Amino acid sequence: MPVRRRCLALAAALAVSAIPFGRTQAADQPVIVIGSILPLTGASAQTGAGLRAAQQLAADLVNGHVSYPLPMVGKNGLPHLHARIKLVFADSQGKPDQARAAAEQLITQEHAVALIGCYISSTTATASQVAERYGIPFLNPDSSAPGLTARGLKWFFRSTPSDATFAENFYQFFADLKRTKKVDVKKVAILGEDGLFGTGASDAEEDIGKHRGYDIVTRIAYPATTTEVNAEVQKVKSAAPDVIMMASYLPDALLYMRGFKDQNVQPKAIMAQDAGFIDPGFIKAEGADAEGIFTREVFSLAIKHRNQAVPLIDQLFRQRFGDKSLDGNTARDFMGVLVLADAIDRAGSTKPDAIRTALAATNIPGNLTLMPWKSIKFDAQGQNEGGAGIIEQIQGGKYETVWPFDIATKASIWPMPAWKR
Amino acid sequence: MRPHLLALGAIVVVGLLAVAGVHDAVLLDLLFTLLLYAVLGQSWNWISGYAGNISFGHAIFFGCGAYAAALCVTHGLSPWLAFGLGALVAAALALVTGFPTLALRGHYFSIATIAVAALIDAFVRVSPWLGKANGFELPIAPGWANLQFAQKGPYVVLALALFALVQLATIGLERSRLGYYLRALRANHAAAASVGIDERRWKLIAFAWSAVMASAAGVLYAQYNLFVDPPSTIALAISIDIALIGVVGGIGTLWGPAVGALVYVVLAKGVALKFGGAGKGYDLVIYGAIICLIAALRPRGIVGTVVDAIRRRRGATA
Repeated sequence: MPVRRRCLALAAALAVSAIPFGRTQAADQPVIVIGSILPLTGASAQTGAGLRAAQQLAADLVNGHVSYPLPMVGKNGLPHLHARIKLVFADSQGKPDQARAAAEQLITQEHAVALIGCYISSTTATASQVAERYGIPFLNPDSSAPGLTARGLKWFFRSTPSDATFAENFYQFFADLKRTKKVDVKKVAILGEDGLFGTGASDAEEDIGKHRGYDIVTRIAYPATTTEVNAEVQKVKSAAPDVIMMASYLPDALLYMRGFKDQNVQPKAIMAQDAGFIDPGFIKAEGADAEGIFTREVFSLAIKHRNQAVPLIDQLFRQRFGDKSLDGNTARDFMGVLVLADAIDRAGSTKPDAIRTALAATNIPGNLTLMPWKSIKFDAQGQNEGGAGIIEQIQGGKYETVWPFDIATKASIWPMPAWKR
Repeated sequence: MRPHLLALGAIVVVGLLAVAGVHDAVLLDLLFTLLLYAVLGQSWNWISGYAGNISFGHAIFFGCGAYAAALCVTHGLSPWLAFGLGALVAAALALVTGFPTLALRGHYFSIATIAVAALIDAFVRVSPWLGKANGFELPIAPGWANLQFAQKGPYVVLALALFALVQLATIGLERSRLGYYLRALRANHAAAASVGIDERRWKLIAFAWSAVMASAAGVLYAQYNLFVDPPSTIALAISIDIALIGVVGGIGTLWGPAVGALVYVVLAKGVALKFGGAGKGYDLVIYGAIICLIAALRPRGIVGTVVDAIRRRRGATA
């Protein structure tokens, strides 16, 4: 069975790749600098450290000689340019003005041929404007605010799907359920914290829901630091929605869960935009009441059914990053470096124009990524049009992938079970 | 007075030479940021240094300017109008906040500034016409009419002009009736009141001017970064940055805010650019340590300490 043989080869490769990547033969190769801007200090520093580790792992694999079913990996660098890539990191502190300064520094002092980053949408907004001004390609693998690709920038490319796609996925899921299970969803309630994350997600859910003819019965924005949600829960209850969509962090997610239970708000489903609902504390705190909650995700180890590289990269990443597993953020940033490496290599040049043209022509099939995407192919706005999310459901105290159906690990349970008394 | 004017003149000349001679975008960026924070620090210094009422909500006035610019640009108006509109709103906010609190003793004013700032932050986050939490991104359209430039030079020149204006105003303040009244009130409000100084009136005037200066800095910030959202303009963290600049440099001194801004920009911004990529946060550790040292050993700040030393020497020789 070729699959098994390939797995064995990959396992052997994995063992070899624990050794530093082909450093001796590569030392005299020219180096191409890619500038990376991440929140390395400040409130998002922990996430930033993971993203940095993931990007560095990707760069090391590009410069190494071990191949995986991933683009540009294991060719001792960029074959067309006979060069290695080098990531130079800069700290955004999670602040838009610092991200702008960092972009300027990477372009003018480090002579980066392309930029990647910056995770937090507001920092991506300012850094990418600097790249636009200097005419340097900017790849954003990890910011989901829909507006970023609506700015008409020429040098901006985004490989991750945006909140609009994730919201769209919810409605696609409903449509698929209608087809397969004759489930009918009409009334939708939208709740979201009032920060950048909740606002963006709720806006997208509302716009797309209305566009698709759903009845948005209520829309609530609340501060994430709230300690009391009775009035909001009452409002949801009186609107009697089929589905409640939520964009919440952990403490507020738990507050609402308790409120729904206490006031016996019983929708057919709760659809969450990850965050608080995928926090390890969520299932722990909710126990049996967490059963049946749906949440969108950008990544799952279940994608190994499509690409065997997933568990192998996961293992390499764990070795480097304190045994923490790959997640949606780190997997997207890992892919981002490969997308840039692929474009620079195809450009066969470090000229910004050539790289931009190559990026625009990117065409990586989904099964050569770590993601649940159809492909990586940029539209005229620079948005990856092949992006997609996945939907998970808590079943038996675990997150099971239920959509899209081709990578599902379990069938979905609909409607969600009644609250435990 | 004359040495201060000479010093200011020298700074302006050096700044203009830097604009003409330096082409390093990163250095010019730091220079712009330095001037902007020096203006913000001085603005804070008017109410918190000279008048002695500590403001922990100064970012909202900065935000007034930044949002005024964003609203002007997104509504097809000239961002130059934002200097006036932002100033009006900022002054009005200062009067509304200051009227009930500036004549009170103790920390009521500080608490009120925090509360008003939190309120405005929450208000902006849910107001669609203010961009909610998403904020505004200003389109790239360089030109003097749009108050937007592809190069850093014009920005630095504008910031330098604003800085010079604010320093001149402060030199004037130190010599003016307002300045004397404020210092008298700060030293002993009861004694000052007994000779007929209306505390609320004079402090409100200082607060309003302070707000206007911060708003002007906000306009430049928005036009420079082309992005305005609540965390980067009106959040409590920005207010604290502004207050720290005033404290580190020296409360109630003419050059304190500029020196405080220099320390802040070199450490918090410059060191972060050079070493921040390591993600170890050394820059924050160093800056934090300096603040602790100044708070513990030199509560009058860097400039305050120098001024004291000069006075002592003069006293000794006289």
